[in-house]
Amino acid sequence: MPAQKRDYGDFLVLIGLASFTLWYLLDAISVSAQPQNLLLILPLSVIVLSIIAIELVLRLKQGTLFSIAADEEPLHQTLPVVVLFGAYVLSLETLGFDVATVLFIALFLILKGERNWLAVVGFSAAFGLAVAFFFSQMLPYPMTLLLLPS
Amino acid sequence: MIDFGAVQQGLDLLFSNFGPWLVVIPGIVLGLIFGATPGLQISMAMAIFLPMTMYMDFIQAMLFLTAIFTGGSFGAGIPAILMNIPGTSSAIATAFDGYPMARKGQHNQALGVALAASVVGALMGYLVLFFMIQPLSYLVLRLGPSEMFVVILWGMTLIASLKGEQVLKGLVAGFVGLLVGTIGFSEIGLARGTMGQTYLLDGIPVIPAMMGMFAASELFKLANKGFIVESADSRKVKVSEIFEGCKMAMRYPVVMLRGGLIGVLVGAVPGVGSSVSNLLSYIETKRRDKDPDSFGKGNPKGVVASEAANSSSEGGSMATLLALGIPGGGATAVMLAAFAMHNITGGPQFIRQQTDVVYAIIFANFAQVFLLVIVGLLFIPLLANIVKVPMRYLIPSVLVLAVMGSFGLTGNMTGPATVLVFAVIGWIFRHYGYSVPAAVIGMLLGSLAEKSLLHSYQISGGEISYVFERPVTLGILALLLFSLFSQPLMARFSTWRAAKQA
Repeated sequence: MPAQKRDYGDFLVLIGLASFTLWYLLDAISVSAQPQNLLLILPLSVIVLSIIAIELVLRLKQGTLFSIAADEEPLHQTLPVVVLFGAYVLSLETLGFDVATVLFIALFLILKGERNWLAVVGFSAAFGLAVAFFFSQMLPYPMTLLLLPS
Repeated sequence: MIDFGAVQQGLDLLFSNFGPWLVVIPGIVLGLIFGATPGLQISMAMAIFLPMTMYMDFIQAMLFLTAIFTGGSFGAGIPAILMNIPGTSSAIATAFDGYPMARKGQHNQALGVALAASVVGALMGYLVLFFMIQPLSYLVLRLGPSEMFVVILWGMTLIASLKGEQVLKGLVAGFVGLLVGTIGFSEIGLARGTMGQTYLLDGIPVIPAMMGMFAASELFKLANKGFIVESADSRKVKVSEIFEGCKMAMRYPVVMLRGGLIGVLVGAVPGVGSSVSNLLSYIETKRRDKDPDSFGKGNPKGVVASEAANSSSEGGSMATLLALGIPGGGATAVMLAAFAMHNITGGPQFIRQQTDVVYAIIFANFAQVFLLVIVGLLFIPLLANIVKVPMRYLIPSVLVLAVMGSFGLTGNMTGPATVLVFAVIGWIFRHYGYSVPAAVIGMLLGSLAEKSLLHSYQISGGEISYVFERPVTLGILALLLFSLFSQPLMARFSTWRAAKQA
C-alpha cells in the first residue's frame, strides 16, 4: 500500500468555495439589502457556509482535514495540457482563430508523443483551418482570422 | 377528448400533397448534425434556418422545425456517449452511463439503446400530446412559482445526492452552482457579483460553462490515455451491435415508460423542460433499481431513462407551446417566432380554431419518429467511428470545437474564456470528488429558482402562511425532505436491525 501523503488541495477547495460564497453574499448585500434581492442568495449562502463548516469539523474530528486527493491522476502529465489549452484560448484574439487553432493542435500532438511530422503538420493545418473556416462562415459574428479571409 | 372531424382534416392537410414532407429528412439530418456537434445547439440550428421557413407554408415550416427538434434531441446523445460531452443540456444524464458503456467497448450497443429509447420516448410524447393536450394545458396552468421553486430545489437535492458517499460535497457543489447561476442582473434590475465587468451583466454564459465543466475537464483527464476504448477489438463499429442495443432498450419497458411520462410532464413546464427531465428520470430509475451502485458504471437502464425522457419532453413542450403559447425552452421559442412569422398566435384559441393544424403537426411527428430510425441508423455508423481516433487527435479537435462553439454562443471572447475558467474548475472538482453535474445543473437553474422565489414572495406579500395554502408545494417539499433523509435513515435502520438480529 503506498504511503499516504498530505494533500492540502481538498482543504483549499473547501476554503475557496466558502470564500466565494461569503464574497458573493457581501457583494449582493452591498448592492441592496432589500429582501427581494437577498431572497435566495442569503439563505443559500448560509446553508453552503454551514455545510462547509460541518464538513471541516467532521474532518477535524476524524483527523482527515488534509486528506489525500480523491483521484490519483498523474498531475505532471495533465498540467501541461491545461496550460496549453489556457494559452490557446488567451491567444485567439492575437493570433487569430485560424493560426492559434493550428498551433494548438500541432503542439498538443507533439506534447502527447506524435513524432510523425507529416501527420502533425497535415492534421493540424487541415483540421484547424477547416474548422476555423466553417465557423467563420456559419456564425453571424466577425471572427479574428490571420490567414483565412474573414 | 379527440375531435375526429379535425383528425380527418389534419390528415388531409398532410397527405393532400407531398410538399410538407420534402423538408422532413433534411430537417432530421440538420438536427442530428447540430445536436451531435458540441457547442452547436438545436435552438441554434432552428434559429439559423428560421428565415428559410418564411418561404414555406405554416404546416411545412412546423414540420421542418420539429424535424430539427426530433433529430437534435437524439443527436445530442451521440457525443454524450462517445466523448462524455452532452451535445445539449438535455443529454447530461445520457453521458452518466452511456460514456462508461463506450469506455467498456459497448459504444455500439449504447448508441442503439439511445436510438430506441429516443424513438419510443418521442412517440410517447406525441401520443400523450394527441390524447391529452387539453387536460395538460389545464395542469400546466395550475403550477405556480412556488411549485416551480420547490421542484427546482427537489431536483437539485436529488442530483446533489447522486454520489451517495459524498452527499455534503454534492450539496455544496449544487448550491454554489445555484449561487453562480444568479450572478448578473436580477429580476429587479440589480447587478450582483459582476466585479464591474459588463460581460457578466447577463450572468455567466451557462452553456460555455457547461462545456468547460463537462467536456474540457474530462478531456484533460483523458489526455494520458491512448483511445476512448482501450481494447482494439472493442473499437469496431458494428451495425449488428447497434441493433442489439435497440433490442436491449426494449428489455426495460418500465424504465422507458416512466422516463417518457416524466419527460412529458416536466417538458410541459415552461423554462424547465428536457434539461431537467432527463436527470429526474435518471435519478428515479437509479433510486428504484435493485442495484443502484451499477449506475454511473455503464448500466444501459441509465441511457434508456435519460433518452426516453429528453425525447418525450418534446411532446410536453409542444403542448405548452400549442395550448398556452408559452415556449418551454430555446427550441420552442424559435417555433413561437415561426408562429409569429406566419401571423399565428398559439394558445387556447389556436387549439379551438385550428385543431386540424394541431393534429397535422402531431401526426407529422409520428412519421418523423419512424424516419429518425432510418436516418439515425444510417448516421450512427458514421459518427461511431470516432472511437477509432487516437485520443491525442480527438482531444485537441473536441477542445477546438468547444471553443469555437462557445464563441458562436456568445459572439465574443466571453464564451471561450468561460470554457477555460470552468474547465479548470471542473478539473479541480473531479480531482477532489465534487459533483460536476450538480454544479452545472445549479448554474442552469439558478436564475429560474430566484425568479420563481421572487414571484412567490410578490404573490404572497411575504407571508409564509401562503405556502400552507399550496398543497402541491407542500407535497413536493415533503418529497424533498424524504429524498434527503430517507437514505441515511434507512441505512441506520438496517444497521440497527442487523445488530438486533445478531
